[in-house]
Amino acid sequence: MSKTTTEILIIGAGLSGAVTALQLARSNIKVTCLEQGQWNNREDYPGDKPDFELLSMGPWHANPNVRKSPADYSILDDTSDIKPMLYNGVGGSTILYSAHWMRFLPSDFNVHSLDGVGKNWPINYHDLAPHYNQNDIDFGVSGIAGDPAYPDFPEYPMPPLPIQPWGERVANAHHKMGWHWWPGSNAIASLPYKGRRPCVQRSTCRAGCNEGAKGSVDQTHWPEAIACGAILKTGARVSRILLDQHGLACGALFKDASGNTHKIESEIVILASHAIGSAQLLLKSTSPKFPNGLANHSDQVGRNLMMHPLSRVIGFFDEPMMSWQGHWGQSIYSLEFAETRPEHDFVRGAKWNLSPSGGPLSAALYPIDESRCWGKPLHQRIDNWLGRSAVWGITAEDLPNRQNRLVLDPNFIDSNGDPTVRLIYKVSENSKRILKFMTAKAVQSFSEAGAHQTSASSLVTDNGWHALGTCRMGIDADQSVVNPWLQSHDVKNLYIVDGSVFVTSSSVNPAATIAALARRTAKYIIKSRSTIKRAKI
Amino acid sequence: MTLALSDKQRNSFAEISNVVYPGGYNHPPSSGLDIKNAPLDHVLRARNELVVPLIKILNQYVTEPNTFLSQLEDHDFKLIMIIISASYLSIPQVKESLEYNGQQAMSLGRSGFGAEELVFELMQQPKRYRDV
Repeated sequence: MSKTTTEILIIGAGLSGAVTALQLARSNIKVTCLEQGQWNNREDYPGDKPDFELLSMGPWHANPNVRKSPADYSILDDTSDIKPMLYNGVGGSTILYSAHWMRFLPSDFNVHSLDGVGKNWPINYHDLAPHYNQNDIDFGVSGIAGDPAYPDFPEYPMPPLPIQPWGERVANAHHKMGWHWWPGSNAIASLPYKGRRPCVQRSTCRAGCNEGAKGSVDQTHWPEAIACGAILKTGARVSRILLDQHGLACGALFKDASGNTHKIESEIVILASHAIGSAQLLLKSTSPKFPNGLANHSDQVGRNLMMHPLSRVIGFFDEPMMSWQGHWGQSIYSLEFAETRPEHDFVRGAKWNLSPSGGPLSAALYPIDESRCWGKPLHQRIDNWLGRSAVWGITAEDLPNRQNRLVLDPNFIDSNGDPTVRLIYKVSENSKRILKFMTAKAVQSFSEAGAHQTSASSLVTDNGWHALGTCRMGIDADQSVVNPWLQSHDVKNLYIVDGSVFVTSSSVNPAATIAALARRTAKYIIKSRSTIKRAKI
Repeated sequence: MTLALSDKQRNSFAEISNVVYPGGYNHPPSSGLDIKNAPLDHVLRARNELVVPLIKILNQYVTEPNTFLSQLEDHDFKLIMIIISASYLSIPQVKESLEYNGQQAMSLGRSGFGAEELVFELMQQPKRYRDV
């Protein structure tokens, strides 16, 4: 077994790991990151190839259980209403994400005080605002400031991408109805930006961006972090976090691609492995001091899994709009129904984002609430869909429930000889009511915009992009896993910086908030460098 | 390269495809496009993990595609529809009939993002967020 040392070990090279590593490396802190996947070449992404949709349904699928690449780990999902979507590799899920870049609303941090549900976050919008602002620059976000749904913040570094003909139609409709809408903010370059090319509107964001226009952290963060001295080891799958005799994290065991085990010792450990991966690793890292999993005296590790239930409504228009092109990032968004209203039979709400509708295979096969079709109805469906439709994606705010969780299932042993992670997740009644209401409203939106027909997918099961909450943040060490600086209550030199620390989910996309939280914690570690707890190695 | 499907399996594939994508409705019929050979091989080369499950499905086929399709399990129906659709929709004549020429790289215009005048109106509206 080989042995190396580092000052700070980061586990995971996705969004939060990259943001953290860059901040630390810029401050000359010795950082090593272990990543189970590999680097990708942009040329390999299928988006600029004729079979991109076919490949996106297989080897480039966002569900690791379908994709089954060597970097992926099994996730048992037959007990979950929503299937996990993530990517393992340098860049993590930013490789395949749509790059919708949305700040939380101020109310999202205070849902218990405002609406009597969930829990309040121990921090608020204003704590994160400076980090949102700087990350907009680091990620290269295009958009326009001034949305009345938010407090004022600085202008984005690039103007919005075109909202497209379908966006203009719906924007006009919302304007007439007095409903909120705003041009989409996306981590996608609309101009040449820091070596990145602008978006070419190929609409294949979710198959990886061949142009490098999308702000994936393999481009935006890792090259500079490595230039500043960070070490990034790929093909390194962590199996255990190690604990010293003082109860401090002192490194990790990991396997390389050949299956050889290695040890890395570190003074501080930072978990950045996704809400599924981080909780899984803590649960596997048992010891006499933590028989139920590392940092889990509260029994909160793995609980409160939130998955952002999503429905889609497709609006069909008469005129050809070439709606297979565009950016899969949002053309426009609406927060009209994001907040609790007394007249609703649910609390909280949903965020809507308008997108193009994909190529011919999507037109033929995208699952909607209709029976099987072939023959003439299939031809008609494709003719209606291809180039003449747009999609409202509707994300319901998911509230924490301790029964929604991930566990290790001893009946299924993975390739390391460990129990396999299992998701146990039911869509709540509140979420079902949200989606039912929103679906009807989205039909109204499209009708007002001139659509002659709509179809809906009332719950998109293959859409668990936003797993959150499995190591939640809080003041009370008996009810949470990390404190407001994302430091474990139980293991003082262990930090968790990914979406697992979310207390509630908001209805907006979480990437900007994950990045802001990670940056805030990195700044805290840098500032407290001489006083924070460390393991002696 | 010839993939490991028998003539019988390819003929079954063609019969089923012709019911899924028949002629008419401004689109060419599968039967006239030799879908069972080059288009099918193209798909199976791109996704060779589909060969074995496809053969398993085709071996269940006896006659009458409509009945066959309606009786398939969901998983098998989804799989054969992916393969048939990907084969059919990859054929140049079909793309032409759909007026679809693939996902093209386009230059962003410099004339604005659209609906700017509405955005400037919205900017004048009172703030609508809730804070504590």
